[in-house]
Formats: sequence, C-alpha cells, structure tokens
Amino acid sequence: MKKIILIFLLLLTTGCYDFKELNSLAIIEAIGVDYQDDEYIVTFEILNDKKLENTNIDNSRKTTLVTTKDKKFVKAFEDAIKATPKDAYFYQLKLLLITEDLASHGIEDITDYLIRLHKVNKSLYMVMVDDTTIPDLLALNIDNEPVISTAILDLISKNPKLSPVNTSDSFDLMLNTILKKGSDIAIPSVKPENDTIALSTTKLFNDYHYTGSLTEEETKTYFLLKDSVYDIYYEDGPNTIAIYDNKVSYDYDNDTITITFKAEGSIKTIDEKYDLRNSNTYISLSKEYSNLIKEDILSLIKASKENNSDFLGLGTLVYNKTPKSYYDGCGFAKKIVVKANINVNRNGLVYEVVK
Amino acid sequence: MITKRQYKFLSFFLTRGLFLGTGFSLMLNSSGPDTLIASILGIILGFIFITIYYQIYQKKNPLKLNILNKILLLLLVIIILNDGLFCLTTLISSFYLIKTPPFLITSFLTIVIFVSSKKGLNTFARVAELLMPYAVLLIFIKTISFFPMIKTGNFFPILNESIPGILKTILIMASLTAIPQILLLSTPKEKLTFKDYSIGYLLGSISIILLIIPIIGVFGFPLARIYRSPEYMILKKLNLINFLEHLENIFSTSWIIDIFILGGMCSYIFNDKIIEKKSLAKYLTPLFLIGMTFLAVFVTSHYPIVLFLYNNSYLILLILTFLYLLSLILKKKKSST
Repeated sequence: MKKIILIFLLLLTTGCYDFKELNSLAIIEAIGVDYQDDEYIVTFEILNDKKLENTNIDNSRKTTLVTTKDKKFVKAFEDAIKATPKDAYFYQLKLLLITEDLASHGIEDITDYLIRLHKVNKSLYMVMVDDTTIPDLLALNIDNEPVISTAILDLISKNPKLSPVNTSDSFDLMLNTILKKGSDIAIPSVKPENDTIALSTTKLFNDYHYTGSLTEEETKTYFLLKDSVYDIYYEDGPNTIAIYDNKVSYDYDNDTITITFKAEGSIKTIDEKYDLRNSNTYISLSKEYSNLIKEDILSLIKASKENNSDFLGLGTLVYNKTPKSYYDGCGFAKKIVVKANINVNRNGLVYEVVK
Repeated sequence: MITKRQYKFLSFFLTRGLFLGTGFSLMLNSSGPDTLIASILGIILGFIFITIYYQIYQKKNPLKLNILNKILLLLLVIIILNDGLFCLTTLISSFYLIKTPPFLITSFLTIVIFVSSKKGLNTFARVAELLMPYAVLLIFIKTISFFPMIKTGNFFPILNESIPGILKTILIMASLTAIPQILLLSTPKEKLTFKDYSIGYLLGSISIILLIIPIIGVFGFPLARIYRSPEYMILKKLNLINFLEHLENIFSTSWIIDIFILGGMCSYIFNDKIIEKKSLAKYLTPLFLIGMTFLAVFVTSHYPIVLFLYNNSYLILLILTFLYLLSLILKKKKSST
C-alpha cells in the first residue's frame, strides 16, 4: 500500500504537469519598445534554435525578430507573444530597449505592465537606442557577436574599465529610484557605429519622462560618481592621468550638501617640464586634477539642474535626513559643496619623459 | 520522547510558518522603512505573549480541555492551517506550477502532513530535527549573499511613518510569530521548559528579521511595499559568486518546510487534543484535512476572501487566542471554586 502511494505521489508531484520541452520555448533575450504616430511598436529578439534554422528564415542569423504595433502597449505586447513561433519564454530576458520617442511620451505604461507580469525576469536593464530604430539595431550583423542583445549587455555591464550599469540598475531597482522621493533615473544609451555597437551618452529622466542627455564629458564624470572605475583617462593639455580606486560620499547637514570625491591617479603622459623624481610634481598634479574634477562635478550638477533630473539623488539626501522639509527639487535649492581629492601616486615604469 | 533540542526546532519552525504571503507585505505597507524597528518591537511583544501562554499552561498538568476550549482551539487550528495552506498554494501556483490545478498542489501537501503526523509527535519532532540543518543552511546563505547588495540609504528616513502604522506592524509581528506557539504548548510538557520554547521563538524571529533587512536594504521600501510577495521577489536577486543565478526556487523550499511543520502540529493538535479518542480520531483527522484542503482551494480561488484574510488574519488570530486563553483561565477559576 505504501509503495502504491509512493509511486502515485512520485508520478503526480514532480512538476510534470507544467513541464515544457526546451525545444518548445521561444527564448526572448530582448524586448524593444518604440512609440510612433500614437502607437506602441513592440519588438522581441528571439533566440533561434535548430528547428527555426531549418525554416525559410535566414540561416546565418542566430536570432529572429517579431514586431507588432498597437495603440495600447498591453495589446501590442500580447500580439507579439501571439506572433512568436513558439511558447514565449521571458525568464532569460536581459534587455529592455527603448527609443527617445517612447521615453519622451513616458515609460509608466510599460513599467507598470512589466513589473506586474510574473513571467518576466525583473533583473533586466533598460537601455535607450540612439540614431537608429530598434529592429535595425537588433538586425545588425556584427562579427563575433551573433546575438546583438548579448553584445549590448557586454558593452554596458562587462566593460573592465567602467560599467555603465551594475546590479543596482536592474529594472526593478530602477523603478524603486523613480518611486523614491528625490531621485530620478539615468540610463545608458547605445548607437550603431562602424558596423558595430558603441556606447552613447547617458539619458536623463524626470519621473517617467525623458528630459535630456549628458555630454560625453559629463557622462564620464557621472560614471566616476556612480561606481568604481579602472583606468579612466583624464586629460589636461599634454598631461593625462588614469583614475582608479574612486570613492564618493554624500552628506547633508545644515542646509548644505557636501559631495566628497576621492580617487587615486596614475600618470599616463606628462609634459617634459615635470620632474617625476620630485615629490612636488605629484603634489601639484594632484592639486591640478582635483580642481579639474571638482569643476567637472559642478558642471554635472548644473546639467542635472538644467535637465530637471535629480539622477544624483540629492533630493533623497534631504528627504532621508529631514523628511518634513522635503519638496520636489529641493536638492537643487540647497548649497552644494564639492570636495575632490585626487592622489596622483604612480608614474608608470619610467621616471623620465622620453620625447 | 521529544528531546529539548527538538522542542527548540519545533518552536523555530512554528515562529516562521505564518509569515509567508501575508506578514512581510502587510508590515511593509503599514510602516515602510520603520518596519525593521517595528518588527523588533513586535518580537518583544510576542515574547511577552509566549511568556503569558507558558504561565497559564504551567499550572495545568495534564491539559484537559472542555467543550468551549476545544471549539476555540479548533477555530485557531483551522485559521492557522488555512492561512499556511492557502499562502503556500498561492505561492506555488503563481510562481512555480502555473498550469497545475491548485487542488492538486494543496492535496499533496495535506497528504504529506497527514502521513507524517499520523506517526505521532515523537516521529514528527524527529523529522523537524532532520530538516533543521537544511533550513539553517538556506538562511545562512541567503543572509551572506544579500549583504553586499544592501544600501544603507534605503533604511531612511526612520520614525517618519504614522504611529498607527508602526503599531499595526508591531501587532502583526507579535501575533504571526507568537500565536502558533500555542500549538506547541499543547504537547506533553514533561521536558518543555520555558528556555527551550523561548530560544526557538527568538531564533525563528531573528531569521525573519534577517529577511526583512535585505528586503528593505536591497529593494528600498517604495518597491518592496508594492510587491505582493517581497520575500520571494528578493530571492530572485540572489547571485552566488557572480555565477549561480535563478536560485529562488531552491531557497523558497524553506517555506514549504515551515508550512509542513505548522500543518503537522495542527494535525497533531486536532488528533490528540480536540478529538482525543483514538478510535474517532482515526476517521475524523483525514476528514478534517480533506476539509482543510477544500477550504484552502476555495479561499485561493476567491480573491475577496484572500484580501480579507490578508488584511485581517492577524486580528482574527489575536481575538481567538485571547478568547481561548480567557476560557482556560476561567475554567481554572471555576474548577478551583
């Protein structure tokens, strides 16, 4: 009797009811959403498997694209699922690609829908696409990169020098930033360049709407404040140093926000007038680059204010300390003091300038 | 005979059993970033509750229940077991087995509960002892893995939420952790000392705090508050040594163990304390569990009832517990006059 019950339980309780063959799944790596002429355009990038490669679809491509459009995002999304050749599988979803048109219209519809859907992996990254449409970007043929979404993901998250995104920029945590008082999001963007994909500038949002973008220099400064970098070059005339081991802290006290930035610097190129055997050289270089970076941080804060996007979270500092005195935009209204301290302490393998 | 260590383990699992599905999201919604402080205060209040239970029960040896006591205990057992079963069924049918009928999911769980509790409390306590290292391992790995992702800024501002919200969280924490301990106090208590009982409670409560910390620290309270099951969604963030991902299904098995122990204790109480006569219990216990299966499935498929229980089950449990303890005290007074 016990054996019969055991066999009965084994047959019915091992999850076979919901079993899905891998071959029956359409694994979706990226979703693209655009907004044109009052319609949402949804694109899925689906991984090809052998069966699809045997159809009339181009055999050299490792992915298939499915594009649908509708006035409502939910309908366009569901139509794309229906147009998918097999059972749409979103647990491997890695990227959400959006365009400037959609971002200007607002991302609240897509955010609300995707955060509610249980079958969508929430640890995906949102990236804006510049200078091209999403289907054109996903249809690029790049050597050694058969899957474009993987190429984009490697570009934004696995760069050894700096990663525009880390785990705290995943879709769900990014939504927390939007919902939080005093914070806005800033997302990376990509563009096609010379038959490949390159990083473009950082795009700024106020709440759910796109408000502007940073220049390349401002983007570099933003990465310095955001996360650890390694070997980011800073030039000042003939001198170039590489920044590494950066740390930043924010403090709010007595109506003043203090941003303290510390980093190490190593000399990459130097004017021949400098004597690298003299410690004063390093002190003067440290002072020079500290002022340079301080100016860059102040200009980044100015860009944040001009674009009305508190992506540095200055308002959150105020809210966390004095919630009763918080109001929208109060982070920009406070006095901001920037302290930058770059310690240039390495000169490479040689003491002389060989020019 | 149940050993002291087994009592501690049973107490540990009972503390955690009712938290799945209701506790975390309700507390976060009530008190936002103050949830951590309020839940610690809730543990202190829960500790006072369990001290009161223990004092009442210590005076009675053996525990003899009259009809009123049995009815109130039965209602408590039904609410506790139903909460556990429907929360687990909702979790499994929402995230794991979406197409499987909820009836299949609940019925197999109740079969396992029935078979294991049929062997008696000694065997059941031994099962709890065997499952303990696995549960502790999961808690330990979860705690270590989340710490690098925690942002201290997410815990602020503190003491900014409304006082009623904080008080509600304190009550929720106290009731959902302490009330299932009543089941343990109905067991033969030759070896059950207050020390065993309270250590299990404190360790179980600490394990809940160790999950609240990353929920707020990683998600932030605006996001954690909107999730229906933040305790499951946080597991999706687990990433061991930057290599192992999608481990949420393995780590959520600790709740299956918690509900299994809770269900087993409920079944034992029904068998031994409410029915008492072994000849009757042989037939009534399986019928009771079948009834609970249907009730849990019925509740799962009627969302207004789910919402009602989600918002009020802690209050219902508090009221029933209060009435049950009052009936025991009055019974004692009556028998002494």
